[in-house]
Amino acid sequence: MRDLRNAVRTRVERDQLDSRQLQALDELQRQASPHTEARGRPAVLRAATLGALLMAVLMAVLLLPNLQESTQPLTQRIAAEVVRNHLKQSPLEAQTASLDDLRRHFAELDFRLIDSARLDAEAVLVGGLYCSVQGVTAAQLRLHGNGGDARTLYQAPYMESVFGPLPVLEQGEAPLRSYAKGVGVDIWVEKGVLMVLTE
Amino acid sequence: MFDADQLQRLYRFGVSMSGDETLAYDLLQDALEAYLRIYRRAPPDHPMAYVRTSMRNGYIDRLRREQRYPEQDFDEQQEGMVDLSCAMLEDIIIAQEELDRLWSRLSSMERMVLYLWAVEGFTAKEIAAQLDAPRGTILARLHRLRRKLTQPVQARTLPQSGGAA
Repeated sequence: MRDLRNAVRTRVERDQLDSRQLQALDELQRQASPHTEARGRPAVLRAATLGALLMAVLMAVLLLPNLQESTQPLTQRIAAEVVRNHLKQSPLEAQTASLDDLRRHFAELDFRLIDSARLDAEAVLVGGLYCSVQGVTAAQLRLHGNGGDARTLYQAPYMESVFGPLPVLEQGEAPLRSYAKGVGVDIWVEKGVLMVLTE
Repeated sequence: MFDADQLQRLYRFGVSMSGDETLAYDLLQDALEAYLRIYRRAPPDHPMAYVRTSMRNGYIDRLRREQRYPEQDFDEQQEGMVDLSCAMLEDIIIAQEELDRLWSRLSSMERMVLYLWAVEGFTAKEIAAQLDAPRGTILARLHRLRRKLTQPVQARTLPQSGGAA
């Protein structure tokens, strides 16, 4: 028997972010940190630098037994990211069956949405929203298949430096197939655009 | 920025709230992204509270989309409410196994209240502010929690002499 406060603490502390999750959240914060934020504030800069150093040491200790996770293929990381967003089914920013309407809506994209040759004729566009893939601004198009199943097609400007070498549809290469959380994901390049399609 | 300890606390808040580890991580990630978008322009006074609020709002949005948002029956007329506070939980003793068994049966709100009281050390007033609920609502929840937690055979309140049973 113990007091309720300590019993609750014991119960709650069983829930823990694993090292991979901590690394991902830390990376999220690191990407958002400006490089010249501490100008004119040397004390804060020193504290921030020390904090970053301590965090790096902590991360190294936590990640040492899990190095294989950080070497996960890029395609697997892309698949994990898009499946997470696919399963969220976030509200659409534009609801339309017209790709031209979506092109007009997504004015902030620095590429043109394409009508992929890999989509079957039964796929019905229902709308889209802004998103990102590996930090690159992208469009998330939601589709309904023949049986009403929801599929998500991500489009982003293809950059080999970011996404690595990928099969090109126009060269007759078949898409890469990856899986995350039981959801199949096809990845390819078409007309210079990165295409990622969840099943 | 949030260190590892703070991220763990936020995650545990999310798991306490939603009862789902995967969902809690998603809610935390979304809330952190939202925080990082605004913190340079308009840094919140209380970053941890801001992210917890963002996580809770995200959770409520998700429930509403799934049409699973629970009706809230805040009965503020329960007798003795005025005199109740988090102190009513302080003298409860319970077997760890009993709490573990009850934990998943508690509502999201009840788990959040217990989390904020036991882990973050909040008062009823602070819990009400964090959860954007009237203090009377929180007091009602504390009252019901006490009833729930002291009903099992293994749960006993401490004797008035203050010594552990």
